[in-house]
Amino acid sequence: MRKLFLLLIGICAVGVLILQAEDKYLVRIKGEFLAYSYDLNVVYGEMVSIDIPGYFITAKTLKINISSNIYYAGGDVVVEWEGGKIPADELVFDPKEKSGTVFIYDQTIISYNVGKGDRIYTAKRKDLEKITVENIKKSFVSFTGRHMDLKADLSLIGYDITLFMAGLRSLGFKKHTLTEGPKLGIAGFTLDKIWFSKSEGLVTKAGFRYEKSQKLNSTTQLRYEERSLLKDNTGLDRQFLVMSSTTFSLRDDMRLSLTGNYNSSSLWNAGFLIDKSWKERVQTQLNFSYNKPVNIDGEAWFGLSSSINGGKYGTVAVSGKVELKNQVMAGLSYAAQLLKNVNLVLTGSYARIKIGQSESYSKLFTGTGGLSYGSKLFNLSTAYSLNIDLAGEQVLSQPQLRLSLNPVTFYGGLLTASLSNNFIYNKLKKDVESEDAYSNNTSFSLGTKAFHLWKGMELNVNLSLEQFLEKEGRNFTSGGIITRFQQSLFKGFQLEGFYSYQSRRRTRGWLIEGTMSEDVSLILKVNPFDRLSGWTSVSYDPKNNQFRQSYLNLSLEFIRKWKFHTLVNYDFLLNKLNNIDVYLIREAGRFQLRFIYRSLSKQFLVELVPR
Amino acid sequence: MKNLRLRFLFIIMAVFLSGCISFRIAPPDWPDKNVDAFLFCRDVKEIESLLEPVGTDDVFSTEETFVLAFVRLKDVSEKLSLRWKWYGPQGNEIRDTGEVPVSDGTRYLEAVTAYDRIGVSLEKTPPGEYITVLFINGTLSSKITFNLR
Repeated sequence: MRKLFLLLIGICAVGVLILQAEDKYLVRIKGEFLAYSYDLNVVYGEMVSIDIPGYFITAKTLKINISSNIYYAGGDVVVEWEGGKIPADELVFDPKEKSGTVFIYDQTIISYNVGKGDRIYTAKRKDLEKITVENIKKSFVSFTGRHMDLKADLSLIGYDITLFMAGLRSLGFKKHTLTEGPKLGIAGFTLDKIWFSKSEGLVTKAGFRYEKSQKLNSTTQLRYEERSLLKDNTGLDRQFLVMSSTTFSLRDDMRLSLTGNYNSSSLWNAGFLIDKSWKERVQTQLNFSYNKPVNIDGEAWFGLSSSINGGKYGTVAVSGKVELKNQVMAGLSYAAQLLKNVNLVLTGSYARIKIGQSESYSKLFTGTGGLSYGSKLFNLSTAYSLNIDLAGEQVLSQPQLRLSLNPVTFYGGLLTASLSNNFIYNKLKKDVESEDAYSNNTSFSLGTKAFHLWKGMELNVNLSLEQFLEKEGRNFTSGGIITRFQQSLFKGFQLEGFYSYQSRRRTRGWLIEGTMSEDVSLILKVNPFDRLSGWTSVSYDPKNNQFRQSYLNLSLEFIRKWKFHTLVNYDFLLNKLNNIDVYLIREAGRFQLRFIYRSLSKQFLVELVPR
Repeated sequence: MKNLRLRFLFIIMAVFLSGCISFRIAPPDWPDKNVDAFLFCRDVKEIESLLEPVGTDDVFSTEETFVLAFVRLKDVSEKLSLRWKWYGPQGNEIRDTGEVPVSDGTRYLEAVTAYDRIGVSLEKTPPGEYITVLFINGTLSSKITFNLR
């Protein structure tokens, strides 16, 4: 346990050091006012200075659309570089290229290029018009501050930054990654979800992610449940789970991974892995893992695995693991393409594993061989598996043969048929006794493509047949038909119907017994305008002359960015409403705030979910 | 012992989070939004001593008479002057209003509306993309474009 805490302290210390570290920047922005909208992925600034190594710019306003890579400075713009300075009204620039175009509105519109190349940079109206103080203020998640750095991976770091949620001032951060680079995902500290429910209490999910130059990738996640708030809580007052995974790319052909998970109910595990590639054809992994379940002894495993890709000669993989208490696992596999469309797979494994907490071990050997042939018309595969329990002296062998015809179409695609057959034979040998069993399953299906009967009306029919035979004589034949129609009623309204008839007949000697079932379902889909969509369905059992289930799924955007969504299920057999789920959703760009009520579990949830 | 571990872990998490979370940061004030609207329209009408744009668009025809560049400012309390500059498809200036005083800064104005306009005709204003730039107190504030067909 002490080691785990030391590990956590180490992770935290690295986290703090990473947070405190000043990385290289592409653009350093300082201003009297800077704001970033997470929803829109844009930056707005006033009275700004912009430092791009080699260039220094001042301007009255700054607008950056990170998604569309537009950088605009306007009003009293001054661009300075070593040996030059130019005043202008506007500047549109590309910090990666270190070049841009300044515009001066005089007798004519005068433009000069700054930096490399002759490209004229312009900002389109649609890229800039949404970058306003009002829009950022209305964003669900936004930040304000006086100092932001944009990195080469287009992640935006804010210093002494304040978070605003739906316009309300929230936490302050000394340093925080405000945006996500296109390749990095969300870097920095993230609050993924907070919700309250009657069964779990107050639940918080947070994470910390860091990635640097594709050399280091680290993710730590924390889930915390505070249950002492619950009235009838009988379990632990609180519980937390920490999961951490870090990967270092030591070289192009070698990486090192560390993982660690801890649950406050005294359950933890840790892992270490080195992965090395040798000339792209050979790959080797060396790993160590320790797993400590609740109330029983932990297990420490050391393993080595390697795969050799021999091209046309096939691929061989070998693996072995040893545990400190004399447990062993080993495996060997070979896969190759023998001829065109003919594939061979052979595997073998051996395991010596402790039986529970006793001092006894099970010793199992498993071997499989498979040969398959695939063509345009059919696929044929044969496989043989052998399981030997060396301790219990049991041997199970199982050959099987599978044949399937690829779907065949007739009458210009009007009908499609498919057929498949599986045969399995089992032989179990124990001491001197042996018993065998076999089964054969044949299935056939025939379907029509959709017929257009009249305007807006489609119909299709599917038939299926199955025959199952086995040594014990529990044979059966089943068949069924499913008919589906679809009728457009008027704009935004569509009716769908299903009729299903299924029959299953069991034959045992002279006795034939069986069951049949019928189902009729109708679904009405509605989408009369963008803000309203949903469907409702009802199912009916003609055999018993009884309605079964009814569902309603409705989604309505009742005011801008606010959506009401409900799922209702009514059970006619029990004559009651089975479940009602009600969602009130606030769309906020890359976030959703959801208020949820679920009648089945009597839960009320508030969720903040990144999209 | 378990409580001690929990406290210890919370201290660690607090140390960890203290590296990035602070409760003492004073955020900069959200700036006053002076330019509430800057857009093109065909006409204006007066409602309660303020102007409202009529026929807002960014595509106009040479058969129309005028194109207006309408501006609405809010929360004006300082000395303020406006200047409209109009540029044709070739980037040449076709009209400059010069500095137009709007407020002398002696009183607070909740809203100010104003416009400038150019006459359009096939002879004087050929089809193409036109740019109108608004300067406030001599500094470029907003730029909008319209198409003349």
